[in-house]
Amino acid sequence: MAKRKDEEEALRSVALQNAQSIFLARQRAEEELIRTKEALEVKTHELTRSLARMRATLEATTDGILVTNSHGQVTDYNAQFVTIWQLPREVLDTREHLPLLTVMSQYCKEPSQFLTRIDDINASSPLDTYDLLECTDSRVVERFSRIQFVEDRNVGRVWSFRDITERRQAEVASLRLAAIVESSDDAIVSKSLDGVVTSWNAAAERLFGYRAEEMIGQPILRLLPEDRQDEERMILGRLKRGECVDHFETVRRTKDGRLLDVSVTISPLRDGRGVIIGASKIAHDITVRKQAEDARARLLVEVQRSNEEFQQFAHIVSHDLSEPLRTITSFLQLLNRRLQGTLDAKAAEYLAFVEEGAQRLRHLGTEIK
Amino acid sequence: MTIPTEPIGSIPRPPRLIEAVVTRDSADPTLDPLYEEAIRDTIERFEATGSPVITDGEQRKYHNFWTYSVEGLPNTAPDGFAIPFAAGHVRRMPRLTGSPFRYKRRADSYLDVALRYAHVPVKQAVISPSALSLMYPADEIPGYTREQFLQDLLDEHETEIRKCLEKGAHKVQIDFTEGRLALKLDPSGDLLHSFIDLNNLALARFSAAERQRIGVHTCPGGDRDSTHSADVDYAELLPSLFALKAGNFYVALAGETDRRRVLQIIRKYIKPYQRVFVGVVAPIDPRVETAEEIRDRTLEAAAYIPVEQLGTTDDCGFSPFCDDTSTTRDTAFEKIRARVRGTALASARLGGG
Repeated sequence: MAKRKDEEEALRSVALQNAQSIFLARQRAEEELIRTKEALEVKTHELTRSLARMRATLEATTDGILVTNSHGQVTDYNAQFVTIWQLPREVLDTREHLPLLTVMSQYCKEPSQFLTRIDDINASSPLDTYDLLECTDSRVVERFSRIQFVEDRNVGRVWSFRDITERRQAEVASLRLAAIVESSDDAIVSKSLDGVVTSWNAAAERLFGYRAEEMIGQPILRLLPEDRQDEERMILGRLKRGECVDHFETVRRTKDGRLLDVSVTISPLRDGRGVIIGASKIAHDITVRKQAEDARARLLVEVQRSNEEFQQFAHIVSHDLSEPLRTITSFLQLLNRRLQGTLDAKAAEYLAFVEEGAQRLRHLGTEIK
Repeated sequence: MTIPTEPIGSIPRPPRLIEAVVTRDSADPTLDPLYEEAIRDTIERFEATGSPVITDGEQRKYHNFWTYSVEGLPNTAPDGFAIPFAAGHVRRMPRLTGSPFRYKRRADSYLDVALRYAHVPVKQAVISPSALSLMYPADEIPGYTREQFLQDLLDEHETEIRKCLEKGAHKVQIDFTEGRLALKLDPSGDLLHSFIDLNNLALARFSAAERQRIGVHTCPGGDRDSTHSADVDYAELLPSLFALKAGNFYVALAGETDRRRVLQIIRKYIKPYQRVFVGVVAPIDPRVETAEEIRDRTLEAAAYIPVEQLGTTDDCGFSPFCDDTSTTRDTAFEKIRARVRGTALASARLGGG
């Protein structure tokens, strides 16, 4: 009995010694906990700032951003996303992807196709996707999506939406313009400010004989005859000052060496900020017109010469006719005085006709002069 | 709502195994086929009871639930402290004689075998650090301070639990039967609080989610139909017990004389994130409870504990010490069967499973 009591006492002693050590260990643990808590507070503060920066970045982007997790729940989105899709607050508050998709699909020209595509993406989980969404209000929205990985784990998907309506309209206009340029009868080319060809349409191919691939990247000087090489410097100088060169008639050389009369209109090309980056040149073949003008000039000279010859001839005729006419008139006057009273009425009438004809002839001679 | 029910752990070993262990060293490799067969048979019979969660019956825990991890360590002596039982016998702990303190074996090795045979979730019981802390002697070991020992003890305990969790244990149950013993040794409660502190230092190493898979078992320490601290009032233990940062508690109740009083104390101290599995079967009572008795005990507990925080269990393992033959395997499984059926009856009465 005494032995058991001793053992119990020893056990109590050990246990209480342990208790002292455990108390010290607990104190250390509590101190460690305080340090950890302080470190956690610092980290929390850093994390809060980091989250604020991330939120600001998310809101600063011009794209609409939506983040969903692998359970189909919405974990984040920015204001631009709400604006693009005009989403009501009560739908956003569900924090579920499906109700959002239902509303978004109503803006699409093909709602069922829109929803089917989402099902496909969710089923096959591609790394990234790209789609063009045509809206009923004529807007065009680009949709990108990419799997979101956190520590190598697929946790969901980030969707970004960009309203590209204006860009699409510009692209369409650009394509239309390109078609016009390509189908124009006038040669339309563009060049850089150092005179290197940057575009070359089909009419330019027909006019100058060079294919586009032969001219793009080559100096435009290739088209200028040797005696007109200075023209290019003059043209580039005016362009750099922002001036146009309008209907400038000149001569250019074709691939086969022929000289062509052309009328060129050159305008500066500007980038989005208005900086002149090159020039467009429209060249119109005026060879036929030039030939017609030459023929007309030649004809005019010929007419003038003929006219002069005619006037000279008329003068001569007038001069040469006046003398015999004066003789005829004088002798008619003599004859008329001698025969006065002897002539019957008829003969007198005939004599008056002759005298009148002579007067008319003399008058014509005066007019020819 | 279905009320969960789980065993504590040990099932009496088959007589052939007990006889063999007596005549040979318990770690003798020639015993391996007997251990393996005992585990296989235990799991088969366990599953036959319909128990939704089982154990390997601790068939391979050499000697007992307390010293299985340190039995046979070269830096121990067999003359450690004695744990006195009401029936008059004592169980003696090994004494640490030198550094460093390391487990000789971990309970996850038992789990490896059990999971090979099991078809339902398996839980694993481990010994508490506070129990093993009593291995360090009264006089300091030269070159190895008490603080160093406690640090090593916590590391070993954490590793054991972590490995069990990683291997898929349904729950890891920390056997903390020395709680009431601590109060018996030191009625001031200081010793109990230091035990709680030590165990909390270990539990603090786990995440909240992990702690929801960790439980603490307390009982008066059953052995050979006797206990080491049944005379200590639960009212002194339970407030401190629920201060442990575990998600589950397995509290012996069937053997208590005033269960309602204990339930009132539990209701007062249990935290919202904790579940208490109350003992509805008394292993030290040779009589097999009926399912109706179990049902009524469960309903009685449900009157005090929110059903979503309630579970049922056995008061204790059926054979915490390997040579305990006071209860037969047949009786143990019959009692478990009654617990499973009785808990199901209670669930049905409460409108669940």
